[in-house]
Amino acid sequence: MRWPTQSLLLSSLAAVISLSSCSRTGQPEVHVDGRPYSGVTLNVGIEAAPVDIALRNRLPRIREELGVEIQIVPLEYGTLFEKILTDFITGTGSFDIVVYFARYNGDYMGAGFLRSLDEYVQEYPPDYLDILPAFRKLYSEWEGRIYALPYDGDYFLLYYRKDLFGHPEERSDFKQRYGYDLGPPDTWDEWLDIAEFFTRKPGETLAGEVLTDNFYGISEYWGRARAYAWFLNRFGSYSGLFFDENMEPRINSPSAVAALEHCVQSFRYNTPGPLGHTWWNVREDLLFGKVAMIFGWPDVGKAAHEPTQSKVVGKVGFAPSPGVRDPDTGAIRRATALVSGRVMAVSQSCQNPEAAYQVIRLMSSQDVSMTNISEANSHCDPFRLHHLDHPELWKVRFDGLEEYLSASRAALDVGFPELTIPGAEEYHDVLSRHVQEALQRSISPQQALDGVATEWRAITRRRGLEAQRRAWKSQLSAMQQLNLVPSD
Amino acid sequence: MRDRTLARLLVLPCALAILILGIFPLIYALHLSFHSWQLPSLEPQFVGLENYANILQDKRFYWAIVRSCFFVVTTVGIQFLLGFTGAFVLSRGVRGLRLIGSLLLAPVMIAPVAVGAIWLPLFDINFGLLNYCLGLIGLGKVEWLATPTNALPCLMLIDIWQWTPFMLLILLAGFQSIPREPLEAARIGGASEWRILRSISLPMLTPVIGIALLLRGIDSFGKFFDTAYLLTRGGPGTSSETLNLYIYEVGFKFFRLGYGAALSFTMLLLALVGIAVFFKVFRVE
Repeated sequence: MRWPTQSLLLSSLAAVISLSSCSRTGQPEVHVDGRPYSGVTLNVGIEAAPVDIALRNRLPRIREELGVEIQIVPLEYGTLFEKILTDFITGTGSFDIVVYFARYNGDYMGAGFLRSLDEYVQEYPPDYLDILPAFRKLYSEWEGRIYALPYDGDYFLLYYRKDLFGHPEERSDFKQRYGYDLGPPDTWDEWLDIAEFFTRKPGETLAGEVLTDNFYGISEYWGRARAYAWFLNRFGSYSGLFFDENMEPRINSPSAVAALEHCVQSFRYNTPGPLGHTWWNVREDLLFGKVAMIFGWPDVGKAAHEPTQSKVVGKVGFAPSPGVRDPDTGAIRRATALVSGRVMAVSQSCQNPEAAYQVIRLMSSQDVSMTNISEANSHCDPFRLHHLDHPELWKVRFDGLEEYLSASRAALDVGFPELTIPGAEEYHDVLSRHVQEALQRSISPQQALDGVATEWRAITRRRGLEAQRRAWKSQLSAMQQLNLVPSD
Repeated sequence: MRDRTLARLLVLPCALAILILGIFPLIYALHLSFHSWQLPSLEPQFVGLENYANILQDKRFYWAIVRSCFFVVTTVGIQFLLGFTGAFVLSRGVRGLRLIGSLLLAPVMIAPVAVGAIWLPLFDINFGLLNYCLGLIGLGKVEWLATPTNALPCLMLIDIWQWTPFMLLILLAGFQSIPREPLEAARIGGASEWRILRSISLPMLTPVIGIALLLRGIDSFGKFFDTAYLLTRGGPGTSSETLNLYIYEVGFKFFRLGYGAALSFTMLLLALVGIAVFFKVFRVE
């Protein structure tokens, strides 16, 4: 860490001295100006707006409560992984705190670039058990130690147009055509029916009005960066699993192929250009009234009810993801991809780890994180029970907030985490690339996933089979403990 | 003798700088290409020629070469045709040549990332200017960057837009440097403009054309990265992935340093072969 002036150096020295004499009462010793870490400046590497908005909004409070000055180092989303890792590897020490996608845990935590927070967690508890189990076990911990606290708890919700789904004419037409009532899809088969039903051309009628433009059943993010995430929504509910216990890929198993075949079938009902879509296109397609339903991160729900951002205010309903019906029992197996959740962690090069911990503890605290996740423009999403249990504390209020939180809870109960083992970014990228090829129909789903399996084996071999197996077993065991995948 | 020593001393700092900044990294990269090194592991392992053997079996590498070559031949070819035509027209005397020259230089001066930022909204399916204009004449929306067939041509279009003026200006300078006497003598002798262009201007322009094609070819093969990275990142799938995008991903995104270095050296080798063939064909000295 570079200190720009001598005075800063002296003040930080004073801070270090004061820190070293911290009491053991769960509260840091207070500095002479009433703030425990006065004079400490910390560099935070975080994805640029809109992700950093919550942090920027809280800077006055961090300064007020802790005395810490935060310098935000904005990073570009597409190069976040390599920029932070390069800094760690070269020991440049540009970041005291990093905010990053939890799927990088294996590369950051596993490689020893982050500080364990156990000591501080014990001394200054962060309401840790209130954090939802998946975000706690899979995103914040590595090999039984706590290294991070959540910043943004991403998961998916199904958003659908209540006005269209409830329109008598549409309901009657749908029932006549498909033989069951129109509603948010319970299964992926129903998802296809509804997507097909609502895909219409100009001149056709939608909810009693003649269309002047195309209307589409769905919009999905099949761009390279996150194509794998939209696949995982199916993959999990088709009982897919990334690897077996020996690290042999199961990504080309029959259930995985079935999941990808569903993606290919679904692809035709998308708004134009899904292979180039980003999350923003998907969100816009819903908010601009172009589609009947989407899968989206929780921020869409908040935006859907903001007149400045949405043309469909009051018309959007929420539901958990569809699933796959067991032919024998009739039970529906659902899974919601937990993709792109962000955590905050302290780098090994940080000279003031305790102050850094206090910053991330404050940011993820019940009180502050409630503000972060419930502001209209923050792009942070729930990760605590507290967030789901207290709609009255939400800053953004809209009709259906209870329904939104109830759908969130249902989605989180069946969360299907992305990989967090070392090399996860590369495993996911390979998957996305081949999923895109299958969607283009240049190869079959089976060929695409066979290709994924071959490349995954090569990645595993390169990174060391034993180390990768250990990391995967640890993730698998956590997923099984949380009942996110079957234990057999 | 003393002069020679002094001269060597004066050259020494420059030679050292080249050695340290240019040659050493090259040698180090060559050394690295014989190792397997997956960061964050700090222990590169010597694997001999394994990386090069793997390249020979790497289908993604072959396709990246095909795309890169297609990109270079097409973009530089079109830039040359447009630039040559423009230079020929302008060389015949046009008012405001300086102003035109300055305006033509504008795209060349824009940073590649800014070029990407300019074109990204133009290509937007829903709100892009291109689709808006197509809509005005009753045509449907085009998925510019989102289909495998369109993505690479869109990147080529941008390269042509940005670098045709450069080609034009070099060729225009070439046209203007042709001595007037042989042209006037040919005109007095009754030669047509086409005959003058073919028999006098073109042969005299050959060295300039050669240099222009060479510069643009090298630039296009090795340096068209930033804009492509911003717009498509090689996608959808790998449909617009050129060799440098692939090498970036291997070396700097997933930190396979040894394999990345081997890919870079193979790319360098290919470029050198291309340049040698080019010199042979154009007889540029």
